[in-house]
Amino acid sequence: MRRIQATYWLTFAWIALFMRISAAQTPPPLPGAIQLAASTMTLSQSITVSVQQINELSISGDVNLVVTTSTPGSGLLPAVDGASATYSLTTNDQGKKIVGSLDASFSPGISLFLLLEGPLGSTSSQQLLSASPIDLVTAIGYSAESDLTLTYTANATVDAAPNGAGEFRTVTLTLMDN
Amino acid sequence: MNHLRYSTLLLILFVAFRQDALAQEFRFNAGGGPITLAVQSAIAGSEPTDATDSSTQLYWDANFGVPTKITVSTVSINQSFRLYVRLNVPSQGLGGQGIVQPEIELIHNMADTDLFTDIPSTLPGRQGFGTLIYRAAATVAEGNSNEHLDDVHIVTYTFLAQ
Amino acid sequence: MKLFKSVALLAVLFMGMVQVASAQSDNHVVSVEIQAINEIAIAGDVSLTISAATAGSAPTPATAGTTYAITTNDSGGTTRITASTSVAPASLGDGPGNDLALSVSAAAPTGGTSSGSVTLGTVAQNVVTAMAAVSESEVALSYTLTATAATGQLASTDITVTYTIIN
Repeated sequence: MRRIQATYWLTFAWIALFMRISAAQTPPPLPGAIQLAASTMTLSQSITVSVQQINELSISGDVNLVVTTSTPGSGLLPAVDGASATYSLTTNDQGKKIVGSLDASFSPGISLFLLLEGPLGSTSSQQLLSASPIDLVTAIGYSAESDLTLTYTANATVDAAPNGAGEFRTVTLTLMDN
Repeated sequence: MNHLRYSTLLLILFVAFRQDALAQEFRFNAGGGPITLAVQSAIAGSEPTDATDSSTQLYWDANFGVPTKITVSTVSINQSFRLYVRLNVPSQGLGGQGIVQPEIELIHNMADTDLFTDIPSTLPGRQGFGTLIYRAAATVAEGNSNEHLDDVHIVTYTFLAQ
Repeated sequence: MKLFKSVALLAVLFMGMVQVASAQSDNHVVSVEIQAINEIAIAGDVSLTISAATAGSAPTPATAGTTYAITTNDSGGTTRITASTSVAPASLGDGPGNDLALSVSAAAPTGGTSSGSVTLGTVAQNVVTAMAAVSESEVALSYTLTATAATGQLASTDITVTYTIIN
């Protein structure tokens, strides 16, 4: 009888030992995790996706226009370049436009016009550039387009004297709200 | 009579031990708190650049007695943008056994979708950890949060017998 | 009051989420080079025939005219037009005179000075001087061909007159 009791008690002790080891292996949950009932095997996490207004414009290439000829009696022939420079833009907003300006005017007799190829759905027009920003492309919506053309036309009257290597100006394009 | 008493007690303890011996584990090993993915830049001419996060790690012990898997689902009312997740399980020697599923797109009210499957039921392969890699994406045509507000997801991972 | 507070709170929360629209710029360099440009074009050829005389006088001179167009962007005020012939007119004619003379009177474009009637030869001579930058067309060229009895006769002969703009 005592032997039987001893056997049972040894068995109880052995079982209790393993139960305690198993219970010790479960650590507390990490802070910030959404707490769920201990009996379920699920975890949840809150993820927020935020998309900011993105407006990016980039110009590639400089341009050199040379006025070299004229039709006698009819003034100087304009110099045109539509291949040396391109621009790319990305906007995830609507109602945008591109304006253009010069950092300084050219000498009297020289005028510079710019025609931008607009992204799909927009409206563009050739404009005379000056130090004051002027609309070049309007009604721009969601766009991600690259290698759009810039076509420059340099006009000169006979009053524009020969200027050696030329006059250099910085043309700035800005993507902005309408 | 004593045999009956002790046997009953032994039986109860045996069953309790058996239950404890089959305990599974499924928890965040790192992170697990709220995450914000901000799509905020682009190369001019290209679609916006994706935002990613890999700060959350899962740990599991698939002590189910049968092969196990992890699934994923989400709730995100008025979802406007795209969110993806995949589980990266690095080589862990004999641990971390299972099959990694391709990246999953998280869509509001989607059905539970397999993320990691065929976790064995025996040691050491049944225990492992992996990193949750989230990727948020938006095209220009999908607009921005000024127009639609942010998407807020409650992503749920379920650990269950396969 | 409660409704006002709720609306005010909602407005404040919404304002916090609105992002200011942004502008994005880029620039590049554009250069415009103006080269020295001098262009002249004569409108058409001229035909001169001496075919009559008043008895006792030298043959009657022949006259004819055309026009020229010019563009020059030199603004120095010293630009001129010279003219020369491909063959010396005086060497023409089968008589002993060597006195066939071809002269031109070129009107000046605005700002320039005409040299008046200039007897042409193979050596370039000024026909217009002191021009500034100008672009003008249909400017008159008047030719006169003169001969004496000693010039003799001359079959139809082409003489090329070359006009040159010099800055």
